[in-house]
Amino acid sequence: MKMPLELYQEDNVNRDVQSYESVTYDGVEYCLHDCVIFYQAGEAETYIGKIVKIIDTTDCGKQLEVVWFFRPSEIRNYLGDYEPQWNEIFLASCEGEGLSNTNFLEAAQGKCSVVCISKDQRNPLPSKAELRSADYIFSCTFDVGKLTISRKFPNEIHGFRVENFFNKRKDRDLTLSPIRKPSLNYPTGMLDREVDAVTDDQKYDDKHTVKEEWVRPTSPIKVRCLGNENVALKFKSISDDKVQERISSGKPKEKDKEKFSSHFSASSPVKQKSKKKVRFSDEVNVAVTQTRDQVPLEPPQLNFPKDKGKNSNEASSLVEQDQATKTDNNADGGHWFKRFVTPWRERLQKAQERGTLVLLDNLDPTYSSCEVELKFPDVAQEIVRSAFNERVEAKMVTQTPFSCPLYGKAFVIFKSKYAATAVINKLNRSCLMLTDQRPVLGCVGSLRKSDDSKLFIGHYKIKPKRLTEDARSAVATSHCSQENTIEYSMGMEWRTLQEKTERWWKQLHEKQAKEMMELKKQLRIQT
Amino acid sequence: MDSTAEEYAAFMERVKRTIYLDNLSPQVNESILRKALDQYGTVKGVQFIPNYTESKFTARCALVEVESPQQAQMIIEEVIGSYPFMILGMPRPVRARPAEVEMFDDRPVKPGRKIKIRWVDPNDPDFQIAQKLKRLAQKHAAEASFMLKQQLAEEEKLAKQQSDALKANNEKYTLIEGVMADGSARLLASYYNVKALED
Repeated sequence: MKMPLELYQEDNVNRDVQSYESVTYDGVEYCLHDCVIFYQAGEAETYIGKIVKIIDTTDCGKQLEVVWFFRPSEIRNYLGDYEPQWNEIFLASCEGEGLSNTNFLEAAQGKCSVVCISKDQRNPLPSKAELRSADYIFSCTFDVGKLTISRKFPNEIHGFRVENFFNKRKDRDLTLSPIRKPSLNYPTGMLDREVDAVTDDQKYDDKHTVKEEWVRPTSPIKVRCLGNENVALKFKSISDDKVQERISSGKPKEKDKEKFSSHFSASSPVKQKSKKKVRFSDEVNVAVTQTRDQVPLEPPQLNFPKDKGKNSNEASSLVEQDQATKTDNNADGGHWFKRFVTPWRERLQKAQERGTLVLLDNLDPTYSSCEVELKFPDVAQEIVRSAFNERVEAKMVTQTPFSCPLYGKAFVIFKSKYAATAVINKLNRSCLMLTDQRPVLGCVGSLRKSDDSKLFIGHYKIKPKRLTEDARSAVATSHCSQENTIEYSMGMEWRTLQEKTERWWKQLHEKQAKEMMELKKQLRIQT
Repeated sequence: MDSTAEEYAAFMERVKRTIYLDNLSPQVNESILRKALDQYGTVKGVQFIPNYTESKFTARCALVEVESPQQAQMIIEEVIGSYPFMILGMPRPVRARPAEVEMFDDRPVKPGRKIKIRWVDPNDPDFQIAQKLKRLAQKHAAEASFMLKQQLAEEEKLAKQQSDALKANNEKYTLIEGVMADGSARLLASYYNVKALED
C-alpha cells in the first residue's frame, strides 16, 4: 500500500529522474528550501537539512537532496573561540564529505524553521517575531573540507546559489510559491475512523507493537567527518526490503497523523523530542503585504494582545479573519456583538476552509460554550508558547438523541491555522485532562455538507388523478391523526420504529458509559 | 463570564417549559410549528437546532418554549404521546421530549463550577490510561455514527415499505374508482346478474 504522496512537477527533463518543487508526505508538505528534520534511531539529536532538490527516481522512489546543518555539538572540536547561541546551527559549505546527501522521503520526520541572521547583504534579516518563532538560527558556515567556521558565505553551496540558503525575500516569495489549494491535511473528523476504531483492544495492542517497528525511521544518511570520539556514520543505503516491511506492516493510510504521533510518543521519549520540533513553517514564508491599517481598529481594551503589529504573522492571520465580523480579539466584552454579526454556521465554514477549525471531543457535556471559550485560550497559549493572545470562539455541539450523553463536543475556531494545528498536535501527543478524568481529544473540525434537504423520509404525497382546485391547494395541517385513518396505522409504525431506536441508543450509551467507568477506575490520580 | 445563580435559575426554569421536538421535516419553519402547537398551548419561542456533523440525517430538531411547564407536560404526554402528531406531512409523526440543559447551546455557565485542567505527559503513569480513554472515546464516536447509519437505514426501509404499500393501494382504489365511474362495473354487473354497489 502506497503512502499518500502528492507532487507538483517542475520539469520533465530526465525520464528516470524527475524533479519537483514540493512534495507532501504523511500530511506534511515539503517544499524546496524547506528545512527538514531527520532522525536516526539511537542518536540523541536529530539532523537538520535544507532541501535543495526533490527528485523522483524510477527505481528508488522519492528522494530529498539536502544540504546539512551542523549542530555545535557535532563540530565542537572546530569551533575554537566561537560561542554559539543556544539554538544556533551551522550551514555546511564548500566541498567535502558531510555537505549533502540524498535521502529517502520517508526518512523525513517533519519540518522546522531555520532563520539566517547573517549580516550578509544578500540575506534579508528576519523580524523579531520570526526570530522568536524560529526553531534554529544560523549565521556561519562550516567548511567541510577545511573544517573551519566562517561568517562569510560563498557564492554558491553545492552548486546552488547562496541566496537559496538565506532567508526568503518576502516579495519574491509571492511569485515563486505555487498556488496551493487549502486542503486539510488530516482526515475529516472522527467519523472516518470507523474502520480503525472498531478494533478491540487486543488487536490494538498487536498493531501497537507492529507500529514500533515502523516508527524506527529508515535512517537518514549523514557522514560525519569529525573528531576522534565521534563515529563516522557509514553511508547507509536504505534497503528496499526495509521500506517494504514498513509499508506492509504500517498502518493503512486511513490512519491519520494523530494516531501515528500518539504511538510515536508512547514508544520512546527520545523520539518525542524530534516531533516537538515539527512546526509548519508556512508562517515564516507568509508575505506581509497587508499592513496594520487593514486590521479593523479596536478600541483600547484591557487585554490588548501584546504583539499586535509587531508580529507579521499575527497581522496576516488577523487580516485573514472574516472581515465582516468586526471582531475584537481582546476583552470578553466584545463577545456579545460578535455573535450577531455573522451567523455561526458561516463562521464555522470559513474556519474550516482556513484550517482553523478544531473539533474537541470528550468534554463534559454540561460545559457551556463560555467555559470552553475562556479556558481554551490559556490552553492554547501554553501550547503555542508564544505571545499570541489566542482568542477562540467556541460553541458546544448540542445534544441530540443520538449523541452520547457522556461526551460533549465543541467546535472551536482559532485565530490562526498555526495555533489550531499546534493545539491538535499537542492534544494528541500528551493529554489534557479535565476535572473528571477526561482526556480531551482534538481533531480538525469538519462540517458535513447537508444533503438535499427536500428529501425527508417518511412524508409521502398521494397524487390522485382528479382533484378539485381546492383539494390541490390544500396543505396538510398539523394534526393528530385519528384512529380510523390509514395514516394512523402508518404513523404508528413509525412510532414503533422511533421507540425501537430510542431503546437502541439507550443501550449503546449504557454500554459506553460502563466501558468508560471501567477505564477511569484504572487512573491512579483521582482529581 | 460567570453567570449568577439567578441567571442560571431563570435558565433552568426556561428549560422546564421547553419541549424538544425531533423528526421534523426540513421544510418546517417557525410559523408552522407555532400554528401546530398553538392549538394546545401558547407558544413563546421556537428555536431550531442546527445539525453540523451529520449530513445524512435530514430530520430537523427544534426547541419550543411554551407558557408553563404544565402545558409542556401536557403537550408531550397527551398530544404527542398518545396520538401520532403530524406536522406538515404524513405520516411520520414528530417525537417530543422534555428539553434538557445540554440541548441549549447558549446556556449560561453553571455557577460555582471551575474547570481544572492538567497536562499529562508521556512519563506520567496515567498517560497510558489517558491514551486508552482517548481511543475509547473515538471508538464510541465511531460506534455512534455506525448506529446512526443503521437507524437511517431502518427508517428508509420502513419508508419505502410504506410508500410502496401506499402506492399499491392507491392504484387499486383508482382502478376500482375508474371502473365504477365509467360504467363498466354496472355493465358487468348486469351481465352477470349481480348487484353492483354504487357509491
